[in-house]
Amino acid sequence: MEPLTLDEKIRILTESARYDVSCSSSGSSRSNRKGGIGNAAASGICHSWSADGRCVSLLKILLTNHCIYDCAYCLNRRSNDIRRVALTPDEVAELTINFYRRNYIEGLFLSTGVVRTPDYTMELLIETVRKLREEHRFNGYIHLKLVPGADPLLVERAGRLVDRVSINLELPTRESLALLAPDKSREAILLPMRQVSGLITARRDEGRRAPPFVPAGQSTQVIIGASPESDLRIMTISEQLYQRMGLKRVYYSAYVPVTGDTRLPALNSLPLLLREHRLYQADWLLRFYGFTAYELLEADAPNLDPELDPKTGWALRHRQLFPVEVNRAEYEVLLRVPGIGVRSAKRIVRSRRVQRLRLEELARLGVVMKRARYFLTADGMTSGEADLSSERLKALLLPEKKKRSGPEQLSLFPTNDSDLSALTGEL
Amino acid sequence: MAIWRYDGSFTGFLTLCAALLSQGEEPEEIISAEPLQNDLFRTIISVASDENRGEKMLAAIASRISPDSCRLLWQAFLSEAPGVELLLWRYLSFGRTTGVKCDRFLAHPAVGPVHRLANSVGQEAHRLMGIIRFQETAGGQWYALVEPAYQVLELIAPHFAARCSDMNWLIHDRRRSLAVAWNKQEWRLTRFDAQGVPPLSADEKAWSTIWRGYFAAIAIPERANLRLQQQHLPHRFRKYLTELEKPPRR
Ligand code: SF4
Repeated sequence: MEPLTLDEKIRILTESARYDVSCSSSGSSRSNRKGGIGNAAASGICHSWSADGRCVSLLKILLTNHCIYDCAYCLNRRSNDIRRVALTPDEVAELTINFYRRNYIEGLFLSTGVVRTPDYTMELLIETVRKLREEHRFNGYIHLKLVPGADPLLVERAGRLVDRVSINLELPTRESLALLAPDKSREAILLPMRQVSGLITARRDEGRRAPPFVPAGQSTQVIIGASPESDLRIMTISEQLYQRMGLKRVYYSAYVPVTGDTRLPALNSLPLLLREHRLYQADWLLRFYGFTAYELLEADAPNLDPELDPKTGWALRHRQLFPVEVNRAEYEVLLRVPGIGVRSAKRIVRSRRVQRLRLEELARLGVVMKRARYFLTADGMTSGEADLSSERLKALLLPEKKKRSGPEQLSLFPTNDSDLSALTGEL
Repeated sequence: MAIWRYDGSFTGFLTLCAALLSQGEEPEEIISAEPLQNDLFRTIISVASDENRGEKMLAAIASRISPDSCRLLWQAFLSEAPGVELLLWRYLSFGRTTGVKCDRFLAHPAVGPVHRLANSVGQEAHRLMGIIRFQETAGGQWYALVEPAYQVLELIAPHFAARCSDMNWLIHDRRRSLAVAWNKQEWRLTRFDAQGVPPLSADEKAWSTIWRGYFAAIAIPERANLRLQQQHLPHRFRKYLTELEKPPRR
């Protein structure tokens, strides 16, 4: 085989990395040191948008696509016949710095296939970020993947150098993991996650002066649609990850059939993208709207409604709680009104201290009246149609069908981090 | 009522507000450009920009309304929207009656529009922080060309001063013939009329080629969604993004 150029290696290692969905660079704020390069802005910055409509914020790349494991859903699995390449820690560091100076990226998201042993691989990753931080004096954002099964000492060392770490849960349950990723045990994934969570808590007690430890927290990713778990099952797992492990984000990745492995369903991926989108909305409701998994879903209806967003679905099942009077309702209650998002709820609370709100003013505060009007009153007034039957109301709330249905409809549904802000005003 | 005129700078505008207040006047219109022909028959009062008076006005806004209001007014001012001066003047007048509570009246016509303008300007600045592209010049400096919808150079300069503190950089707003430049110590806003991109360093082409390759590879083909990409990246930004240039014809 002919040797590859640097460009070609980068292309291959990017194509292997792109299925990892997390790309956010937000949540850390690290200031530059004198003579250094880079800082981490607290609110995520997108540098471009790729042809799949996702925000490009980080240089997302693998150190190598060599792998000793054989995960069914992964392009790099040992049994797959693909060209194997590797970059050196120096090459990745150079690439990062040069992209960063040109303002192409906000930082690095480094992952890798497993070479030789988990420890050896983890050491290569650490060496790369160490070079960036110490030799290149790089203070920008770094998100590092932890290798399942790596030594706790290495996990800790990595966490001192980077902004965020993640270790992917991959499949929602132990059984699915055993079937599709037989080389990774659930423990090899959960132990480092728990260790990092403990170290973050410990760091919090040490006070401001102590050296940082993953200041942007940890995240994880779950592949959906490659295994049979229901949405309810997935949401309860996310709920626990947020509550017990203090995770910053759980990412959902609709399974893209990249391999012909017989352990996997052959799929038409369109309905999966919609499902992924609904899961992100439900996840958002867990984190910012005070909902629990069991409010959004029930044991006898364990999957999210493809037709309606989960908040509107919940409101339709609880019509006895509406309408809500915007001049009186508590913030937490306002948040549950379809068409009122975090921002508009805050604005309502702020402005009603100085004036009584009427219907006309709500739209100006960012309330989506098209939906909210059926669920609220303002100064006792509704905008008509009070006693609609639930079926009729549901029909009114369904998004208008586009003439050409199909994948295009999904363009309304951004799935990555920095774009989700678009949803806050809308749910 | 008269037409009031200032020099187009924020300091000039603040000086004008101070003058209006001290004379107890209500302006019919506030302009910065040369008055039109038919305005010759109306009274035009010109106020010269005064650093000192401007500062005092700003301090008064900070204490009588709030420090946040100063930022808000400045940011909305940078929108250069037609009639923005009168809008800001109304906000100020209203703020004098409400004091610190002013910004809670988001549904009030004197307050809401100012917030919306300031938000748009803030959004443009935030967006620019991502899509500015520096190119390394032959002289080892870093040059970026932009044409933002609003006058946001001063809003983004602190970000790049912190982020790229070890680089000599210059961001050129071609639309307004302005630039902010950083010399590793401080940044300043200057007039800048240069045409065309300066000669680039030997490496520049190689790095932008690698970047374009990376950009093409990062998109998941099974999820192609050009409309969504288009939505995020309107045409006015595209011409500055190397990754979106059409590949050269063979
Ligand atoms: S360990 Fe990672 S890179 Fe290797 S096959 Fe599994 S998912 Fe792919």
